[in-house]
Amino acid sequence: MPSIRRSLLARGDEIYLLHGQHSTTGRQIVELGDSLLADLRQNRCRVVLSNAQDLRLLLALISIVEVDPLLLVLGRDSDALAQAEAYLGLDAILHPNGTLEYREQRSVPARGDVGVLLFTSGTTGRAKLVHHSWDSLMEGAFHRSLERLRGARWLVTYQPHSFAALQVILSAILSGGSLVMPERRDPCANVEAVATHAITHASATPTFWRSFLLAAAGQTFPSIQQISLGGEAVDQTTLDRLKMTFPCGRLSHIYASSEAGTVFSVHDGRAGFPLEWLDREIHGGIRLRIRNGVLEILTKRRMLSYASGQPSPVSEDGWLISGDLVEQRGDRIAFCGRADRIINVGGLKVSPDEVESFLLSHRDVREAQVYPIPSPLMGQLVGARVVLDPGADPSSVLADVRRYCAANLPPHKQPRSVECVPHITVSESGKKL
Amino acid sequence: MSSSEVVSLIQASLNEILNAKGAGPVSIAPETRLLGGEIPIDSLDLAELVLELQKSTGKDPFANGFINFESADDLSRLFSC
Repeated sequence: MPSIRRSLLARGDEIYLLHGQHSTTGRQIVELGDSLLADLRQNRCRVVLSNAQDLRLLLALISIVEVDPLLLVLGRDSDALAQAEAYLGLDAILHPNGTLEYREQRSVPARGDVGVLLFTSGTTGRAKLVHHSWDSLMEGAFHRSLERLRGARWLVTYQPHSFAALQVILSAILSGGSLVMPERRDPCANVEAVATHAITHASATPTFWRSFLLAAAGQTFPSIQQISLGGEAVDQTTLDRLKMTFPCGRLSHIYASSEAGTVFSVHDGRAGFPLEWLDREIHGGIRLRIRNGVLEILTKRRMLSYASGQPSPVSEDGWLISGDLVEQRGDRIAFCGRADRIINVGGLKVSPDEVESFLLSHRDVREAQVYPIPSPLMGQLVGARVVLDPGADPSSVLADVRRYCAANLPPHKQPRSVECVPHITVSESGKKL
Repeated sequence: MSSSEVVSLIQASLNEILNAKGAGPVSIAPETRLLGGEIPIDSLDLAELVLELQKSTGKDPFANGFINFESADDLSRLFSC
C-alpha cells in the first residue's frame, strides 16, 4: 500500500492545497499532522472526532493515520457527537480553529477499531454513521489509475467529511496531484475556480454538474482532462451536455456509496452500465447481481458496519443490498432510482429519477426535481420543479413541458403539477433533496 | 369563494388539463358528472383537478378523510365557503 506521508512530503514546498485564498504545502500538512499526533499521543487518544470542515486539518489527520492508527470520526454537529459517543466513546474533538478538546469519558475501542466513521448523505432520512477500515478506503482510491492522474489539479466539490471527498483527497495525495476548493460553494465560484486555477480533474454529483453548466453559460474549459460524476444516477442528457461542454475531457461516472465503497466506473459516455458486468467478477473480487429489481454488490471495500446501530443492509450470503432499483434495457443495466423514494400513484409505482431524466430531455429544461404530492384520490401524484434555460419563456415552456409529458409518459408518471423555479435546493453532499 | 365561482374554477382547470392532453375544451354545468363519460377525463385527471382546487382555494376538505363526490356541484360545495 502506498504511503500518504511520503506522497505529501514528496511535494515538499509545492502548494498542495488551495482553499479559498489560503495555500498549504505538502510539508506544512505533515508538520501540522505531527504536531497533532504529539498532542494525541501525550493524551493517549485513540478516537478523535473532527468537526472541522477545514481541508487542511482533515489532511493533517489523514497524514498521521499510518504512523499511529486512529479511529477518525468525521462529522460536525451534535448528532455526530452523540452517535460517535454511543458507538465507542470519544477521546478528543478537533475544533475548526485547530485546537483539541480532550473528553473526560474515554473511548473503549476494541482491537481493530481503527479507520474512519463518516456519515451517509442522509438524502432519504437521518444520516447513518458508517464505519470503514483504512484499507477499504485506500483500496477504493488506489484502484484508480494513479498514473493517469499524475499531476492532476482537482476541484473539490464535495463537502470534506463525505466518502466522495475522501476518495478525491486520497487519489490526489497518492497520485502527486493537488486540490483546489473555492471559499464559496455556489456554481459561479466553481466555474471561476475551474477557469482561474486551470483545474484538470473534477468529480461531483450530476446535480452539481447541471448547475455548473447553467452557470458556465457556454464558456469552454480547455484545461479539463477528466469529469467524474457520482453520488446519484446520471441520465443520458446530462452526459451528452457535459460531452459538448468538455469535448477534451474524459467522462466517467462512478458507482460508489458510503456503504459499498467505490464499486465501478463507466467511461463509455452512456448512462447505466454494461449488462455483461452482471454475475461475473468485474475487478478486485467485485461482483454484481440483481435481486427483486435491486442491485446487490459483493465487495471487500464495503463498510464494516453501521456504527449508528441500524441493521446492516447485507444479505445472508454477504452481498450488500444497495437499495438502487435497476432494470435491463438492451445491452445496458439502467438505474431507475432508489427503492425508498418510489412514488405510489394509485398503486402504480413511479421512480422520480426516471421522470427527472425524462424532463431533462426537454430542450429547455436544465434541471428537474420530482417529488410526491399527497392526493385524497390517488394516494400520491407526481409533482415536478424545473429550472429552465435562461433564454426560455416560462409560461410557454411550462405548457409545452406538460404536453411533452402527456405525449410521451404513461398517465400515472406524468407530473400533475409543474412549476418553474430559479434553482433546485441541494443537500450539503451536492444531491437533490 | 362561492359555489358558482368554484364551478367556474373547475371548468377553467378542467380545460387546462384537457389542453395538456391535446383534447378540446368542454363546458360543464353544476350537475355534470365528473367521471363516467360526460367529459373525457380519467381518475388521474380528476385527482389533478382536486389538486388545482386545493392550490387555488387554499382549502383541504379531505384533510380528515375522503369525502365522496360525483358532480361538479358536489365538488364545488366542498371547496366553497
